[in-house]
Amino acid sequence: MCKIYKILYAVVPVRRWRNALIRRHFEGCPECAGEYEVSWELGQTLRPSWIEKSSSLWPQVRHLIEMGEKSPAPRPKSRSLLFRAPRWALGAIGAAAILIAALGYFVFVANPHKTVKLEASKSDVRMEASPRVLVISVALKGKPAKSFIYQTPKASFIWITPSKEIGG
Amino acid sequence: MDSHEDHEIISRCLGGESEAFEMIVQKYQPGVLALTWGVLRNRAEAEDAAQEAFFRAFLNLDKFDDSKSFKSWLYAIAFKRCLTSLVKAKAERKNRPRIAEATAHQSPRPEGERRLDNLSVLGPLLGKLSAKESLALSLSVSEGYAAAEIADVLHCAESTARVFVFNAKRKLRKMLKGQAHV
Repeated sequence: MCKIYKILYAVVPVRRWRNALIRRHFEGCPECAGEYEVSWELGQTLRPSWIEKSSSLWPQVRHLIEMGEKSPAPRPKSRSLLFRAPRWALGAIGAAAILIAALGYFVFVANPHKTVKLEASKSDVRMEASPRVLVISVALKGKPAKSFIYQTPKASFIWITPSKEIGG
Repeated sequence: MDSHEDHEIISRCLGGESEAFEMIVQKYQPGVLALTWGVLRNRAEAEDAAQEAFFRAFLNLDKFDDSKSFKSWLYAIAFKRCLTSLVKAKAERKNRPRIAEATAHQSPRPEGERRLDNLSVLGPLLGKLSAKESLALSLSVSEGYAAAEIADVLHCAESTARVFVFNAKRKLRKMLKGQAHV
């Protein structure tokens, strides 16, 4: 459609005047007249006359209804959000719950570090309760030597080793 | 009959009064037929698809959301039926040589069953558009649907619906120009 048509369509508010002016414009504008003809034909092609004249589809639809279900299922009254959620959402919630349970098991039940810490603290208590050890001297091959005393956190014993001979 | 009355009829159907659905069929038959015709371009197939769409709509009335337009919901069902028909027709076209061989000795189909091809110049051109373009154009031209309503039926964005209509018109214009040159 040409610019004049667009202006007429946009500017003239009263439909009757607008249509009259557009019709008059079509008489003098072959471009608009051609496009109007095509759009009219398009309308006719997309909605042919047989559609309005065709007999009612209700008898066939009723037959299908009678052949199939008698009536649609009644609308469910009120369902909680959990039941209205789609299946994939329920599946995701289930998977997340399993994952959290598994993590909880590993963190609180089967974590070896936690157990070691507990055991270590127990051994510390035991150590404190036991009598103190006093190392007076360390000898290597009958000669006095420097001592190295070591206790690992989880061990319940003290490791004493001569590290170097002391001459004399 | 406005949407309020539609909802009233739906409630009656859900209450077991299936005969009330006849009013829905009477009201929406021309629109649904125009839609199925616009996509399928075959009267017999269009009527079958429309019939099937009404039946499906009846069976799924309990799933209809009251807050939305019943017309758009029904049209969406009809469009799905059209797509199913198109898939079936495509499969049949693939098997056609074998079927043609098998039915070579049989008598030709009666006149009434033949495909209605006596369309205007635009008819065959419309067949070259995609299903979504055909539907968008049909809803826009024959139903006067706005882009938002077309988007509701096609389950797409409003801008996408506008593109479908625009592309359909552009393609038709191009094909018409091509024909005029020939």
